[in-house]
Amino acid sequence: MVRYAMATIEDLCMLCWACVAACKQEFDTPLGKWRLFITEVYVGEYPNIVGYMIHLPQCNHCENAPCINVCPTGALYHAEGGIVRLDKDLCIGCRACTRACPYNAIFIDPRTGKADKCTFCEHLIEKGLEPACVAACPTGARIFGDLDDPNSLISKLYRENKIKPVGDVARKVRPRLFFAPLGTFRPIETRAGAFVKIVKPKDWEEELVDKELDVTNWNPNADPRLLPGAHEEYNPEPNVQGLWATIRLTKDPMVASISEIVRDTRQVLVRAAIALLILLGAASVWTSIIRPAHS
Amino acid sequence: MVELVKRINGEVHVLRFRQATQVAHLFLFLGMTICFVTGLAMFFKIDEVQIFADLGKALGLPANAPEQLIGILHDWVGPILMLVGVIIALVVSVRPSTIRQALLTYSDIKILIDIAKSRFGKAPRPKIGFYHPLQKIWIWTVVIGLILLGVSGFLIAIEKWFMMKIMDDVTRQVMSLLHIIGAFMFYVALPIHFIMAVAPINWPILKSQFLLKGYVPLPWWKFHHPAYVEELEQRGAIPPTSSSSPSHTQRGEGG
Repeated sequence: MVRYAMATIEDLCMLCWACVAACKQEFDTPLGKWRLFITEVYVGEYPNIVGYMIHLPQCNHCENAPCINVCPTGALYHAEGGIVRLDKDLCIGCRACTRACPYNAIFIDPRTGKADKCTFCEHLIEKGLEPACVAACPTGARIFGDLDDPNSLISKLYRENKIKPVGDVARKVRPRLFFAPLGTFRPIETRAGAFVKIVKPKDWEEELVDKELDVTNWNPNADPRLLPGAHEEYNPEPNVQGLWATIRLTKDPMVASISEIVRDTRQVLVRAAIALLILLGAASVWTSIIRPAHS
Repeated sequence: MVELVKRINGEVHVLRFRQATQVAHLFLFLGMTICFVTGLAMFFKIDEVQIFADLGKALGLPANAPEQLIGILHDWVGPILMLVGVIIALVVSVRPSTIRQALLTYSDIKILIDIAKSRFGKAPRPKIGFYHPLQKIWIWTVVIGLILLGVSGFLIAIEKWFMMKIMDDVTRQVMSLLHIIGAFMFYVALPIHFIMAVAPINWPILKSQFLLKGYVPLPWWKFHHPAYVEELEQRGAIPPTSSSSPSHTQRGEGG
């Protein structure tokens, strides 16, 4: 069985933003909305500023996805390879998923009023190609592959514990988006211009994990500074969960089971409607046109 | 006071739709048709196959923002038109006697069975009153469907358009389920209604509705609803005739 996953080696990222641009170009995401973004965090005071970065928000394609559990119409579901697929035809734009996602990965497309998010470029994977962000990365910082394939790079890095998901919430939602934080493979010491950027593996761990610095308090899809249009009214609510916040169990049995019931019921009712329409429609035509009771 | 019986061009006509009913029906017709068409693509999806995927293009909707337009039509224009129709119907048109006429009773089941038998020539055609039993089933299907769609759709639309969170996750899912069930009822009921309405045998009643006449010729009533004609004769609304139900020997139930 295929288990698709993606990882970012932050050491290799040179912040060219090619991945973000490729993503926007591939899906024509609207102005001020992003399926993938790079969050930069700077800690300290001038000139001793320590910078971090992380390729978030992006859909983590969680195995225990809160968005799938809360979706009232069954529009979100697990597709082949564990990809969290969003069926836009069934989406009613209720924003339940944008509120449930701890990674701020889902936004409302102002053009359609429906949710939108990363698909792992499913349409490209099907053709044997790489996701747009992976293909566009000039340094190979973005890695995509099958976790169950022992020969894939991502699988090797995962087994060697070089890449890991982000946030405490990962224990509950089990994401498929991994990161090798800055300094995983080599310490970084950069003196560029007026800034001194020194990043050691321990810094990253302390600042982003142990000290519970919540980078997702800022949501690019809800920041009016990145939205030079009139679409503020379409912003989702700022994320209320946060990566390190205590959230409810994502696999709420009741919520998850109703979500499945809705999806199954829809399928049954659609088939029943078609069958009844054929049957009753034929009967109506027969009784009123072909063999009418009266002329 | 609305006249129950009227002579038009020397021919006796019996009231079928009061003016308020006609206006309410026009609003409901427009609203339901808009919601019906714009909801097609959302409802009729079998697994990954969307039956009405290209309906937007076929209707000439702009390619860059059809979902937004569909959202406005489905969430606002259609429901508001329907709401106006329902308000007119409830305030002006529907009366206790109307509801009593539409109530399903045990005798309706017997009539239905007799109609089926008559279609196969095994029994004479039963006498049908103001409403055919299938019409009564249709009416209550639409009423229940309208309530389900209205309540669930209102809550869903409010959350969607005003960025509010007024339901918990379970309630939202249940409302979505109710909306699908209501949609199912409408998607079955409305096409059958359209087919029966445009059938040539029902043109008198179709003209009465859409030309805002409201009155249907007496012969049509005698053919299709002889029990109602007998009731009118007993009430003295129309003079008694020697054979008020000539269709009893014919097969079929009509509209």
